[in-house]
Amino acid sequence: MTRWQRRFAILVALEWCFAGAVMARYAGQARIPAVKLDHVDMEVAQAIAWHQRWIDLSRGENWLAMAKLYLAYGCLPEAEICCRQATELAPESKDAFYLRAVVLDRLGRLDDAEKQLAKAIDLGAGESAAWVRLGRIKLRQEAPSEAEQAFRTALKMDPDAIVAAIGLGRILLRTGRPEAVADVLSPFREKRPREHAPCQLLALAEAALGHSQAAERYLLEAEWRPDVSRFADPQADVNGWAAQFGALRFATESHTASAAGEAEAAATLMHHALSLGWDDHLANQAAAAYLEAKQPQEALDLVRRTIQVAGKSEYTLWLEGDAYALLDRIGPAQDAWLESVKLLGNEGAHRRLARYYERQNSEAAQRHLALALYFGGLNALQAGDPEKTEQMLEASLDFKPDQSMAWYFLGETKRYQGDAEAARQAYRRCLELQPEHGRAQESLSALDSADETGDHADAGET
Amino acid sequence: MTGLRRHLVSAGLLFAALGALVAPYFMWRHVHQPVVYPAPPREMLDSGLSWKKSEIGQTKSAEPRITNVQIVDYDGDGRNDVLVCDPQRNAVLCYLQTAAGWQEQVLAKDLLAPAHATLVDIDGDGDRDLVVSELGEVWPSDAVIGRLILLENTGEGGGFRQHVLLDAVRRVADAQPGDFDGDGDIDLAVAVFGYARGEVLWLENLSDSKFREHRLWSRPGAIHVPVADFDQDGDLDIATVISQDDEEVLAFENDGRGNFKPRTLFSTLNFDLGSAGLVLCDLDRDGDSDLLLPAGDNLEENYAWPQPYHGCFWLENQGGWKFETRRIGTFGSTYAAAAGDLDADGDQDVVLVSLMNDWSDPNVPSVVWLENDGRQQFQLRPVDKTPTHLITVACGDLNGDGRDDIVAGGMHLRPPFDRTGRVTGWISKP
Repeated sequence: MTRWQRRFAILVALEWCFAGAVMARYAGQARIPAVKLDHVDMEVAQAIAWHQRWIDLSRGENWLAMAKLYLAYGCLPEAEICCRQATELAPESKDAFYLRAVVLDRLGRLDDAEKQLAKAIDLGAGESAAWVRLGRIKLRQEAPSEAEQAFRTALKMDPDAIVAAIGLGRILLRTGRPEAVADVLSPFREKRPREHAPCQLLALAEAALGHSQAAERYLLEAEWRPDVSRFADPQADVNGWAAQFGALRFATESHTASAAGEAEAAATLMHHALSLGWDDHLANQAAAAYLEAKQPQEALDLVRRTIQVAGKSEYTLWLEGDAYALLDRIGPAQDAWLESVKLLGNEGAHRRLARYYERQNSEAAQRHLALALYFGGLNALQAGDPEKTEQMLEASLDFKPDQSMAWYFLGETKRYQGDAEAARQAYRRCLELQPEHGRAQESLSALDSADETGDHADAGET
Repeated sequence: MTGLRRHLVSAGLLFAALGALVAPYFMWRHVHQPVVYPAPPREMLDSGLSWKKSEIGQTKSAEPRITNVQIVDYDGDGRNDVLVCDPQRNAVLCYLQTAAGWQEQVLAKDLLAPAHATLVDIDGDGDRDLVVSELGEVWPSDAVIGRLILLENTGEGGGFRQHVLLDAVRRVADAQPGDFDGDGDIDLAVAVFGYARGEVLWLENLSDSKFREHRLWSRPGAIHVPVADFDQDGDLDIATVISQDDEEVLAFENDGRGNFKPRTLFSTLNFDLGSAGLVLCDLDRDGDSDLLLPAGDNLEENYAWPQPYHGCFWLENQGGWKFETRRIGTFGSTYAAAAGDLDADGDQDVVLVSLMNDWSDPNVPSVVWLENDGRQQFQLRPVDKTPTHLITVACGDLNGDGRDDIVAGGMHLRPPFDRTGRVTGWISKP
């Protein structure tokens, strides 16, 4: 060897030492689980592929990041493998054990999920949501005592954990302790005035105790509470992770743009979301965004496609009518709105028909306006707004007094507001028009029973 | 050192140097190449029977959505037909078996998400009318958009006259006929599924297509309301399954005059069980009415996963309002069940279909049958793996060979969409 060759040989030897060290680092590493990505859109698939290629697999937090991505897009067995790696590389990471518990929970491997959750809690993941999750696992294992304990712990840590309270309430009802339900759920009846589950469960408890009047009152109250609390675990914000990429990201940005009054940007973003993957709800939102941005042809094309995929609905026909109206094609617009209300009456289409008929046919205009107000009243009832419901139903009945259902719902509104006499009158008007109206008859009987017992507390009072 | 040897040494060192640079790259690439971790093998028996699969109806749709299928002899020609609720077409259709094949007849249109169509002579005039339960929306909704529609058979060339029996209620999932008040006419039991709020009603027939509704229960999640004389006291009772967050099977015991008393037949603390229906049958053929409870609704998550507690339960009627619950099959995301004698051995088998199973695995079946050994011991056997996303199933003899066949409907709301099917039949082969 020449001198230069000897020096080069030393360099190569050093190079191989370094290469050997790098390869040794990779040699023992587990490999990323492959996933089929034909169920997600192209941008999500690209994001996952990028992560697969570039993450440093020697670090537990990177396996955890990969697990979150897989979990967000429904690749559950692969997410579990990634979580397992994360827990092995970072055995003191509460987040890794917690996420592994979440994935195992989703996979239905409840015993394993419980073990991982216990470990996470030992390591410090002791937030209220962790205990709620444990309670839910225990319920699925049909272990009510342990579930109850978990929910009570969750409530001690967070007295506003309504999901824990609801879970506990259900256990108390099922295990024959209705008398204990009020203590758990009455505070939420006050704290969460729009949440219906507390009132529903209180109604069941009162019925089990034989207090039918009280049960009826809580049921009436539940009717006016539209919100449903679902378990939201901040440590497992799967929906939030899923909304970082792909169609959901564009849809989220579209909503933001729409809220900021940027109609055109909202429409474009939603269109891009749809180009990545079809979704009925996104399609309707996109059509509405196009209409707001005064792009009726695009809206019409989208509505037609929605009808092809999902069938006609009163909402898509209403949008179709609006699109035709913006295109100055009033005949087809009217046809679409009429078809919409024929399928299912709705405030939007009736209002448009009322405006359309205003000049030509005042009787038809008045009828459509009355119906628009009636359905608007139903929307307000659905939204839990008794004042607006009352206002709209009364206005509707001024135009068209022969609507038995409007009288019935007005009666329900008055009954909820504690105005028994006005409720009674409304029910009677309903029954005059439709003597076979069973619900009005039952509500009238409920009022009469309440009269007999002197029990007329306003259901809306807390 | 000769010149050649020197050159060879230099070349060797150069390759070694390049190799030292390249080897770690390939190792890195190898490690970052995702690898398939094989799923544990699924053990399953063989099918035991053979069928010829066929698509019923020619309507093409990339993502079909069917809510209900039933096997009935609609035209009374002695051959069974298939009744279909199709929310994509806003219609109730009947596929009639003719010599030329399946012939489609639209029975009713302009319906908003029809969930169930019940054939019954409601007005007692000798022809069959149609009672349609309208959800108003297939997707979850708590709005008062449900309706119950009576399509009165006018007897004129298959025409119907529409009456709205129930309006401004939440989503209506099912209606079943029965004379509940003993006055000789046909009343109706109604399941108002809703979403967060719902109810169970019975509608008292007042004649002239007028009905008075009576509330039996105020909870969301009523899916089906099978009607039978469960206590064999001569009047008709109503059963229902309350899903959503309750997971109970209730019965309403009739006193013969339309006054009902609720009874709990089944309940579980697993509020995520996912009850998906309630099917009337006499599984043990002892002359009373039992119930099948398919459980596997896992749609609360965007990416659903089959759970180990999914499957089918048999609620065996033991008389005196005692029902014993037994699990007869475990099958991920079971969404519907139907009873029938598939192997013509004189006992009742059960067919199950799956909506949101692990469709990433091409070996997972979407239809299975539970073979009854005659003593109500069941063995799960696969029928087919495609199409996926099945939401409704019916059993009945379509080809007149004495063995019950299978018809299922697909509801393709979520991916994957690579194995879709609208209305699929599995006709028994000898």
